[in-house]
Amino acid sequence: MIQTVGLISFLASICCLVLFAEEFSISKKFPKGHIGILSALGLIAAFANCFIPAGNLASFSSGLLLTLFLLLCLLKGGVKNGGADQMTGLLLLCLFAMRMGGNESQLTKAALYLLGIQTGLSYFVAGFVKASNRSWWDGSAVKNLAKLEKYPLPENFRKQITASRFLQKSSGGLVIFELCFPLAFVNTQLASGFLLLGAVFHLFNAYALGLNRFFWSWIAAYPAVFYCAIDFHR
Amino acid sequence: MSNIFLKLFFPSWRFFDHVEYEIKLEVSFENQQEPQNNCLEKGRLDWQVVSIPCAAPSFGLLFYNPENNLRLQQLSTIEGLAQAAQDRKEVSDSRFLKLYQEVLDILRSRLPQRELHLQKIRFRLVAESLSNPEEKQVLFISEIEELAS
Repeated sequence: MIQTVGLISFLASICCLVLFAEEFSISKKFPKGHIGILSALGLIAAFANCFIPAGNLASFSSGLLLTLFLLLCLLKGGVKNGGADQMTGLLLLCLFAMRMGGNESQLTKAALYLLGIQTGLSYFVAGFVKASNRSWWDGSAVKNLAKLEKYPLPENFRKQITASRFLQKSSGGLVIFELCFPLAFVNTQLASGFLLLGAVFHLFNAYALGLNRFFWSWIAAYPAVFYCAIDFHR
Repeated sequence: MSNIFLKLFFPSWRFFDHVEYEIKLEVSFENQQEPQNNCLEKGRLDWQVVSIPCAAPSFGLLFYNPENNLRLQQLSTIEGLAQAAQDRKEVSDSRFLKLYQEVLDILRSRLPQRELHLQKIRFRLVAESLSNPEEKQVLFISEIEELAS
């Protein structure tokens, strides 16, 4: 358990380093409230959290990261980065509970389960809503997604998707992957497979859709899924 | 504030449940002087699409991508206003008014500064069908606003 919490803490620090560095840069271009100062403090707290293994100091630094993140959301006027912000908030809340609970406590275990199950749900619910929409099975949803100017998809890739029936039909595979994700809790072999596929999926989204914060916040929650897969069969 | 906490701790994972429309922000300059800036694209009649450019994809953007995240935040605000405009039951709906002000801030940051103090603008939100670009629906038209701060 202690290794899992340590790994989550380290990955959550990287997630926060990316987030606060970007918010700091944005605040220099478009100043709003005290987001710049808050982001600078967040950068320092995230950097320090990388090197704190456990104990009261770890509880303090994870609590500080959670507080700064919530303040950032308040100053920005809400959850503006959608799912990435939601997963980061959940991650930091669970990390704080794990650090407060300490080694081998019920609170730490509950926080690991909450994070693991919510991560599993994030795929399953996303798959479920897609499965109930015909456009994800006939490929038109992917074709439409490629047309969205919202995402910085490379132009040649955008053209390939809109022209290739095979790529469009592959969206059915994504729906099946998301629906089957809860199987990751069955055993560690399945967990490894699903987490590896999930990481590749988020890496692709970070590159093609510019969703880099999704990558870091979901990757940081993966050790909790793996922990649940081990713990279910103990 | 409670809304933020609810969204963070009871998250919704309904990603891409519908990919049928894209919301576009369009602006009209009430004195008809066309601004000299490439962030405005020609639209229909006197409405012009406000484009919010993004960085070209690269591996380095996995670690540091502020431009695109700002862009996503602003587009999320625009989509939020489109939703709030349809959901609101009274003119003084606080969520709607907050998002309305945020969209004015986006226009202040994205439109050329030198034109702003001279002009009055009106903006509108348009849902454009992705399968048929000719199919457009105007969701909301703003009051005439002065963007000069």
